[in-house]
Amino acid sequence: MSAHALAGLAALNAFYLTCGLAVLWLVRGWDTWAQLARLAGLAYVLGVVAIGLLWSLLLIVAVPFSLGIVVGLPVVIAAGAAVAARRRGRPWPSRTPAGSHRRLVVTAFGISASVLLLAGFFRAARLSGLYWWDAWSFWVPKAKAIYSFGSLDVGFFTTLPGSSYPPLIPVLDAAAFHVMGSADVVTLHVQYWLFGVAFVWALAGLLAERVRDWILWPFILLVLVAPRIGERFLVAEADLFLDYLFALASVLVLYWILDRERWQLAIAVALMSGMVLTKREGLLLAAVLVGAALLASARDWRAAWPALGIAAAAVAVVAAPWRVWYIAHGVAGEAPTDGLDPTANAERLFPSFRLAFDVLLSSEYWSVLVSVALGALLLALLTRAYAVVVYFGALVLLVTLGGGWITWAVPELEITQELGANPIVRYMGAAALACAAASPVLLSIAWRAVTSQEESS
Amino acid sequence: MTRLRWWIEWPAGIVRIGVAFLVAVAVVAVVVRYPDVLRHAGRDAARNSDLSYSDREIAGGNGLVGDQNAVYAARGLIPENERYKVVVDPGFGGGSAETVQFVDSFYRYFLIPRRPAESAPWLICYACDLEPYGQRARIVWEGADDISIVRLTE
Repeated sequence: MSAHALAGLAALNAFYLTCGLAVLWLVRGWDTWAQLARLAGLAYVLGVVAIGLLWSLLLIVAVPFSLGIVVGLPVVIAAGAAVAARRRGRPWPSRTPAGSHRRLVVTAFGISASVLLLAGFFRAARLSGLYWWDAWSFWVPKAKAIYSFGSLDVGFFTTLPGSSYPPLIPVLDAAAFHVMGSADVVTLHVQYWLFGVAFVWALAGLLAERVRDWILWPFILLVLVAPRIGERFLVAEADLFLDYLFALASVLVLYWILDRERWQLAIAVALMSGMVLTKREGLLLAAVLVGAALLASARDWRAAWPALGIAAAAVAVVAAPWRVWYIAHGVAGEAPTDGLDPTANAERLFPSFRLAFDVLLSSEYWSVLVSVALGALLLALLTRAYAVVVYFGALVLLVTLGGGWITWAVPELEITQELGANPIVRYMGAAALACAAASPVLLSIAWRAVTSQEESS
Repeated sequence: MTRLRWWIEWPAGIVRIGVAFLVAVAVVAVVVRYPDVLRHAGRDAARNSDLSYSDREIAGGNGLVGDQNAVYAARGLIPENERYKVVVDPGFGGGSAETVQFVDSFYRYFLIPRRPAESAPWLICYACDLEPYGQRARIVWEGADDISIVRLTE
């Protein structure tokens, strides 16, 4: 790790943030500086996904991946989005008076406690070696190949393990290598730490729009201390990154169901597009998200379903080129061979789904994130917040059933929580983070329902 | 009394108690885990900081490669544009139980942009039998545990 590598990484991440801020300015607009600061985490994630998607798609169509592309594309996107925003008449953010004293105290406490933990995680990340099997056996080799050869080298990409896994994460790693000046796999952990920081910021910023501070911050901190989440922020693999996108997209889709503001769905589509180019499971999780949204918006299906259909089609269009590339190069597909035959592996059916539910409910992995979310669903149900309950309930249930399906349909997977023998624990991180996003929203809705009743009477 | 009723009236009071209870559960879980997580991160940071440069760079390969010098020798000796092959004798006794099966994966990661190939002018040899190569095989580096880097001449 050198100062040069860290400076390069800082510059790249400044590009991500600037680009995301400009795109969000274009599609949403900024009312106040405080709002911009609150949503800067979401802007960063959007910037990473938007730039990463374009890099990936260019790479798939054989445009060489060079330092020029790494630096030039974010500049073009940021400048283009900013000019378009000004032409659309988006105003500069304005200054607003500070919030109430109590709110500020709770927020300051939550931010301080989060920053202290994140600083601890940074110290662990900055000099970490690359220990994780999947990381050094294929994620980082793919990145090093892109960095070294400037292309999806067929010899490497078709022979490595996980060869059908999409290229977004290796592309982001390769971009980091370019700006660091070498394939510095030690400093690379700082990039993953930054993804984690941005996720926490994005989740807190998004939820803060609707959730009371005293409900919000315990759950943000709970995400950070949950055994399989915060301490894995440095792991140079795709699992948590996929879960971040899923959790943030799930909040945006819910907000769209409630508000019907186009920017919410537009950004959710960008994040879902990122999901399908991050991991194979991204396709399943994107389908789950759309499925839950269809169920939750069934009462208003005439207005909602066409928009969701267009969103799903847009995600499918982004997903297609990579699938064409690997099929064209003779790489085996993503779907389990027996996956759609209900009679195949019948003896595995019940144990597979039980395994998925066992993992979902395990406090050993997720602390109390899931159990509290189930309680929050019940309370929101009592206050008749049906759309939100159906949405989050369906989301968590469908993710879990998806996990069971994966184990059931792939006979090579042992029915075990052992990490090397079955990916179920890693996969179920998506459900856990969805619970982390759901709990504060559900509790805040329930609380508002019973306190506003009283205020109005 | 009014305050108490606010908490126990049906169903609003029960919902209030429920919300407060679940937030309290989250707070307790955070309070219980927070110090451990912070301590653990500090311990990891100290451990990473104490590693030698080679331990940190080889990291996941430390249990596989047998001799760290071998991977550095391979990287130093094999030009970036040339191909290599990792040949491991099934009876290789060094390294760990996983070495025989997985050490070639580690070299593939570590040596990029050098490419692995079945027919290559460089061999990374883990107690391998060089007899079939005859005079073509020239050992250019030899380390512990019968690991060697071999150049095959035409």
